[in-house]
Amino acid sequence: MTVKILFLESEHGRYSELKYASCVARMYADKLRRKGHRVYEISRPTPDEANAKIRELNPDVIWFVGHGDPDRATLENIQLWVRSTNDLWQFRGRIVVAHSCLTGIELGKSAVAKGAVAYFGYTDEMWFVWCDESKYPNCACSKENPYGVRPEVWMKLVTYPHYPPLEFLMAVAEGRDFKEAFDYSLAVTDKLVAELQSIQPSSQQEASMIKVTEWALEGNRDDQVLYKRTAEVGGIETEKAGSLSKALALIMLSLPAVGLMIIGGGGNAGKNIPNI
Amino acid sequence: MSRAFVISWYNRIPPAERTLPIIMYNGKVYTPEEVYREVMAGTRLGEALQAKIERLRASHSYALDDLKELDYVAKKRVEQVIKNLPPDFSLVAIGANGKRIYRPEELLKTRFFEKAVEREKKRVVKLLRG
Repeated sequence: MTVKILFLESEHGRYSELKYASCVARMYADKLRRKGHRVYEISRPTPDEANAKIRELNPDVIWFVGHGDPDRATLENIQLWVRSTNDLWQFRGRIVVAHSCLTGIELGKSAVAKGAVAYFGYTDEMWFVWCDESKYPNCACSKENPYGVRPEVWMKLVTYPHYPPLEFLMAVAEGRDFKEAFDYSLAVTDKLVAELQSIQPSSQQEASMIKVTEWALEGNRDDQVLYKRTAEVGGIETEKAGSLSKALALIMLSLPAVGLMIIGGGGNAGKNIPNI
Repeated sequence: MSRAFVISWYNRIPPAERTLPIIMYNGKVYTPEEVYREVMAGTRLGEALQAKIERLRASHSYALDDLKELDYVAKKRVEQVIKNLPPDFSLVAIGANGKRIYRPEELLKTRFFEKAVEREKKRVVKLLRG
């Protein structure tokens, strides 16, 4: 099945931090095109341009990157695009992948309540590695970096935190159901973390940068959320990473006993994940 | 736990993590490298560290003091990692309001730090168990 996907590729927020996600999105856009999907990319969209393209193209899926808060998302130059109090027509009948902090708290739920098919987002801040763009303008999706990190390692550090939402999108485009696609993106994260852990660092500094990137990936994974419409009118179903282990941890921590059982991570290691 | 077991345990620890704290003994934290060195040298400290690792490996539940130590070790790990970052290295969180670009020293005051500590607690247990 051919899917029509619109990428809203902002680049500038406060600095040029958004291009770190957008350049990874462009790689995925190319992959999706090669698989036969109809892919449209809008670079540095204003809210009006984004809205006009949505009306014109009527996409099945929208991916966007922009600074977010629980109830709103922005695009290029942090221009406000959507708020949970709006009618959110932009998302109606579509799948939304929000590469944005915090919108999984409220905006995503509101989007599905107002007609979106599904909404992938984050319930907390979404972290990634960045260079000071005023000094180092060529770090995004590049092997160049000012820290002396080996080029092939740097490329992983600077791109991997952006893979999971795009892997979710890829999986949906390939016809997996939302739950499968969500679980798949979690499993991809585990695989990326394992790959980072297997790198033999060339210095303490490189080791630290690798470790921090692992934490970013794992933290983002735990805050990933998916809202999807159910068959019932107004029904919303939620998928969340690690909700079971968090609940168990809370139960264990509330016990007055002197000991605490350490519960193994709810990782997805061992699932069948192709190389990406 | 035999000396051979310590060698095998040490070899299973990813190289990048051998210089990060993994255990606390008598108020001081030790890295796998330090544990390995002490055990290989046959010191009393090495024996004590080995015994403690053996105990922690075997237990399914930790006493409150062990949990406090685990928390301390995890914090030290995260602090050490952050301290070793280049000063102009940054992490970004793309929220719409407030400051969202963090230098290493600023990371210590964020939820990112707290979450990293929680993650490192699990990591330490996993590494101890080999």
